[in-house]
Amino acid sequence: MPPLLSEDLVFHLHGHRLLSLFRAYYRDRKWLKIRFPFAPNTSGVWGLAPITFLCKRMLIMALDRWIALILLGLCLAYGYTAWFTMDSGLAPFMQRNPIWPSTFPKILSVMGITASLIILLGLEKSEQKVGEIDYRRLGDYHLGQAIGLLALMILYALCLRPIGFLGATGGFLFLGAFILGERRWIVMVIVAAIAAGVVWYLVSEVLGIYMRPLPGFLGGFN
Amino acid sequence: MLEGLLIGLQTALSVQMLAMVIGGCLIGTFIGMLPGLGPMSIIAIMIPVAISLGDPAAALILLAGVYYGAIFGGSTSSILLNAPGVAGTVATSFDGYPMAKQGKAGKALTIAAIASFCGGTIGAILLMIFAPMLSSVALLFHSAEYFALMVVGLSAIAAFAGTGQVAKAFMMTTLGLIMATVGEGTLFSLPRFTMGIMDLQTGFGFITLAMAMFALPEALFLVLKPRDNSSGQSSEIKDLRITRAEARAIAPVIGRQSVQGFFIGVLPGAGATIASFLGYAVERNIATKDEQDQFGKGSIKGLAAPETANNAACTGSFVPLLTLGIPGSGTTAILLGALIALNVSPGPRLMIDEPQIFWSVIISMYIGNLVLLILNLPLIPYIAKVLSVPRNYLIPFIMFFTLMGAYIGQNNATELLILVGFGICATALKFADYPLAPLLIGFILGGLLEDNFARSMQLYDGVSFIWERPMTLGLLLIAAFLIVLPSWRARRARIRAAGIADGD
Repeated sequence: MPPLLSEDLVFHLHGHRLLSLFRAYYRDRKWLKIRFPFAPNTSGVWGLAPITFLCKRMLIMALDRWIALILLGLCLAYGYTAWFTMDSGLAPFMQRNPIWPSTFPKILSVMGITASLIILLGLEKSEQKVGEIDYRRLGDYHLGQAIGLLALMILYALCLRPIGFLGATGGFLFLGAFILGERRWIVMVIVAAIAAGVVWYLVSEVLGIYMRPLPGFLGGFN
Repeated sequence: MLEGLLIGLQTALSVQMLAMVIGGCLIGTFIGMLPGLGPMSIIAIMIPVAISLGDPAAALILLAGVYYGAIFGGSTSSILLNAPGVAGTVATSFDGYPMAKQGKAGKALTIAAIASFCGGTIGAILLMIFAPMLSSVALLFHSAEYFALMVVGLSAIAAFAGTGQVAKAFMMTTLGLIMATVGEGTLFSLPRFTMGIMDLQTGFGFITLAMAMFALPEALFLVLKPRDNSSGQSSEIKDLRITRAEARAIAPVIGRQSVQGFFIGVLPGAGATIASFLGYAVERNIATKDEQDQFGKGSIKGLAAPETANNAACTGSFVPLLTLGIPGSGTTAILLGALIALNVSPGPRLMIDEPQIFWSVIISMYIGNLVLLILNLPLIPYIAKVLSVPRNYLIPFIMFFTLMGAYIGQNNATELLILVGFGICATALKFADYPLAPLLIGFILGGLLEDNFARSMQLYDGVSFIWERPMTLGLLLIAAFLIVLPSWRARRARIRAAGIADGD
C-alpha cells in the first residue's frame, strides 16, 4: 500500500541510508510520479535517471536537509579557501613552521563537509519530530509580525546614527508595539518615551558609554 | 581553603558586591520568570553591563547572580503557568503546576525555593572541595592535554546536546569552530576568511553571536506563537509556609539530589536539564508505592527533586569553567566569553593568580542562594505581576535590549545588521531542530583550541604529540568514543526494536 499523504512520503523517504539509495529509487519511482506527474520521464535515458531522482528527492526534502545542503556549500567554499588559496601569500619563514594559519581550517573543512553530508544523505537515522513550531505550517503563526519586527530592527540599525539614540529607540518601541497590534496610542507614546529616556540615562550617564542622543543637526556631535 | 574563604569573604562582602548579588538575583528572577526567556538569553543581555563594570570579580558575581535568579524565576513560571522558560525547569512543572492548580502555589514556591537553596549551597560546598583538587591536577597539563580536553568537552557537548541527533550537534560545533577562525588568527596575525570586509577583521563579536543565537530566536518564537497566559493567572499566591512533616519528607530527597545533581553538572554537556530529569526519575523509582502514585499529581518530593538537582548542577557546571577554563554548558560558555573580554583567563592558574575572583564567586554563590530564599521568596507575589505585562510591550523591549547589547559592545551599527542576519539564520536552524548551544561553545572555544593545538604542534614539530603523550591520546580516544557511542547505541536499539536488521 503506497503512502499517499505527503507527510508519510516525506517520512518514508527520509528513512534511507546511502547504500539503499538505489533500491529506494526503484521503489519510490512510482510514488514520486504520483506527487510530481509533470517531472520529465527519464526512463529512456538511463544515465540521467539517478540525477532526476535526486532532484525530485530534494523537492520534498525537509528543512534540516536544506540547511545541511547550504552548510555543505559553505564548508566547500571554506575548504577551497583553506586548501587552495590561503597559503599563496605565506612568507617563506612562515612556511618552515609546522603549523600554518590554514592548518586548522583544513581540518575543520573536512569535519564540516563530513557532518553536512551525513545529515544531507540521512546516514544517521532520526525520527521526524515536530518542534515547538511546525515550520511546514509557518503561515498559521504570526509570520507577518515577526517579519515586520525584523524589518524594524534593520531600520533601527540604519537609523541609529543619523537620527540619534532617543528618536530611534522611541520610534522602535512605538512601532514595535504597533506591529504587534497595540492601538492605545497615548500609552504607547508614553512608554516609548520614558523607556528611551531612562535607557539613555543609564547607558550614557551610569555606564559612561557615549551615545548621541539627538540628530546631528540638533547639536549631538559624533 | 580557609584562607581562600577569607579572601572571598573580604571581596564579596563589600557593599558593591552585595549590591551586585542582590541586583543580579532580582533582575534574573524578573526576566527569568517571563516564559520563553532562558538564562542564556538573560546573561547574554546582561553581559555588556557586566563588562562595562570593569572589575572581573564584580562582573562574574553579577552574572552568577543573574544565572541563579533566572533559574529560580524559570521554576516560578513553570509552577504558576506550566510554562517553563528553560529546559532545566521542565521537570519542575510536572509536580509544581498540579500543586498550583490545587491552590497550593505558595507552598510549591516555598518548597522550590528551599530545594534550590539547599541544592545550590551543597553544590557550592562541593565546588569548594573539588575545584582546588581538580585544578591542582590541571596544573600538570600541557597544551597538548588542553587541546585534547577541549576536544573531549566539545564532543561531549555534541553527544549530549543533540538528543539522538549527534550529526546535527557535531555540525553545529564545527560551524562554531569555523566561525571562530574568521578574523585575524593568533598565528602570524594574518587575517583569514574576512572576504576583504574590514568589519570582519576582528572576527565576529561574541556578544552579537550570543544574542543572535539565543535571545533573538526566543523573542521571535514568542512573536510567532503567543503562549496562553490566561490559564494560570487565577491561582493566587498565599500561604508560603510548609509544615514540619513536609520538611522531613523532602530532606533526604534534597540531600541525595544535591550530590547527584552536582556531579552530573560537572560533566561537560550534561548540565541542569539532564540532572533535573534524572533526579525526578530516580526519586520516583526509590519512593514507596503510594508516594509513587502521587508523582505527577502534586507530590512535594517530585517537586523538590528536580529543583535541587537543577541548582546543584548549575553550581557543578562552574567546576570545569573555573578549574580548566572549559565551559560545559551554553551558560558557562557565555560566562567564559565575558571573562575573556575582561582579560581574565579561567583555568588552573586562576586560583593562584587571582584568588579573589575564584573565592568571591564561591562566596557569592552562598549569598546568592540566601538572597533568593530570604529576599525573593517573600517578593514573589509582587514579582509575579511581571507576568501580566502585555506581550505587545514586552517583545519590543526584549528585541531592543538585544540590539542594545550588541551595539554597546562594539559601538558599531554594522554589528546590528550582523545580529539580525545571524538571528534569522539561528531561527531557521531552530526550526529545523539544530541545537544552538554547541555552536556558541564551539565559537568560544575555537580560539583557545587552535592556540593550544598550534602550541603543541610547534613544541613537537608536528602532530607526534598525539601518540607521544599518553594522556593526550587517552583523552582524544575518549572524545572519539563519545561521538561514536550514541549513534552506535541508537543503531543497535533500532536493530533490536525491528527484530531483524533493517534493510533500508
